[in-house]
Amino acid sequence: MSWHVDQSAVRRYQTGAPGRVSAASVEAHLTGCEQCRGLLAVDREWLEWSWTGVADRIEPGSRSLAERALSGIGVPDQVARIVAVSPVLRLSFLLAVALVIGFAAVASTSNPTAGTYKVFLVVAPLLPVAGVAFAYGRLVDPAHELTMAAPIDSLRLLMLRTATVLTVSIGVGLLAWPFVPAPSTLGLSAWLLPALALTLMTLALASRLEVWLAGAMIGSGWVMAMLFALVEGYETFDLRAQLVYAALAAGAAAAVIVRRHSYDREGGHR
Amino acid sequence: MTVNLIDVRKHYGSLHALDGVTFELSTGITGLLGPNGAGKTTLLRCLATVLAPDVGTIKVLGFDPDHPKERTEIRRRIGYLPQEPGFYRNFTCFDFIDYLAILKEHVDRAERHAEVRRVLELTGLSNKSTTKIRKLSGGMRRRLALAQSLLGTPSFLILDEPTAGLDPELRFRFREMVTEFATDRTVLLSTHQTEDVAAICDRVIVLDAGRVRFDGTPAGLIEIAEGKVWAASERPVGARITWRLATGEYRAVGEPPEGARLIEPTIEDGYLMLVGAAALEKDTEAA
Repeated sequence: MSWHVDQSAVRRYQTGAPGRVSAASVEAHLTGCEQCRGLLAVDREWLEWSWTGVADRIEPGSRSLAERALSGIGVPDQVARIVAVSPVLRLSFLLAVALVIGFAAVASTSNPTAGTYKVFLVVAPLLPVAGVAFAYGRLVDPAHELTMAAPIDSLRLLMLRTATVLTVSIGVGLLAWPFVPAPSTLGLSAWLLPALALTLMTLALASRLEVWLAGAMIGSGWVMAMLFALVEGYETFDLRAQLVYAALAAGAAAAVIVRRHSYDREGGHR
Repeated sequence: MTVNLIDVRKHYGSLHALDGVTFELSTGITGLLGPNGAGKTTLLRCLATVLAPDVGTIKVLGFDPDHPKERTEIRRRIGYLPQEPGFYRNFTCFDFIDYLAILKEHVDRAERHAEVRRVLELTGLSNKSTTKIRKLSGGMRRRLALAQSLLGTPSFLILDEPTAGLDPELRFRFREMVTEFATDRTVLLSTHQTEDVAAICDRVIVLDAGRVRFDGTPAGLIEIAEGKVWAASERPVGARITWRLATGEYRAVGEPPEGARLIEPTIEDGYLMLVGAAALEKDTEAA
């Protein structure tokens, strides 16, 4: 470099006196000239603090819509990140849920008086089960091995993601509700307790098996039970059936609590 | 004592992945060698508290991984680099390490970010902090995986094939970093790179078919091949393994014929004498 900024110009620059054009000129020179940068009286602590602040704005990538939404409603940043990483908040999964519930709603409208609305009641509880199966485990989470070795409580992680799944799938189910003709509003709400029971049963079974396998077993068991009830003429969504679902949900919740230490290690808790 | 294993067994169906493994580890670097399927990864996963053994006692840093609270204490104090760590490909390097730091209970945002920067700096990835993982080369991903294992400066570092996919320069940097790290901590390093073991390990354990076949110093492993390695101008018959050198001579390992020109063995020769040519062939096939 053949010329340098004189000391008085640097002093004026530091006090902000020279005006924008001169300041830009001095700044352009300082960026490329280490010798002149040496003339600046710098508060090292302040400089480090500033650079950390800049890095904090640049280094963390853009947050997903789900993460921003969760932070927006007051969920702590780290919890929002843990939940948002879950595969169940990916657009592909949400679209699949919407499609399934859409088809179920359409099928339910074909002959409501003959009870086709029950298609919706059978399909809707499967959505949170599928969500839980896709929320946790080696098959769906690429960093599962690292997660398992971390001190975070695995059951807490699983429950956080399950709560997200329930919120999303029940939300989608409720959106489809007005389009499904049914004898009564109560008739349509009959899928909520089975949904809760199946979700908790999946979690309970997941203390022994991979979550996806537990979900597949509970889901297929539910479909088979409904087909059996249809053939045998059993009522599956009346008040008595709801009491059975409530009992199943309570039993499964108790099993989850008893086996709470079995989720964070392959081979379970000895 | 950092680690204490007594008669640890783990089987998958009829396969005995670990078949009565017993040893202790203290400060320093221990290399874990063995052919594919020897049980190395199973052993490391048990030590990282990811996998429960069927039988046996494990103590890590004085804690029992069978006890849930003590398991958490172990996890707070270890660093673990799995063989296949898995990444969120759309995350940046910074975000990925930051996420894992959250799982490792680094709650304070400013402190956590400082720690993330520190481990990225240690692994030479500072200039890649805003790069998406899907754009990283295999070697860089390996360094990223190594970076997460260093979060919180663990007392016990478990590394499963840390130098796989690293170029020679990065391997030397890795050696430098690990030896510095291990001055007052314990590192267990599973690898197929015998040169790494010879270069940085104070101790070597050879695992084969779920059992400890050798536990001693690298020099002790080399000693096994003392007088068993020779050079010949023609391809020797009866050697366990032989290959042609760039000089045109053959290097053979096994029982030398009378009058053979013996040469200095390496740690690889000792390993080969111990686990046999069959294991080496199995490794080559797997590779």
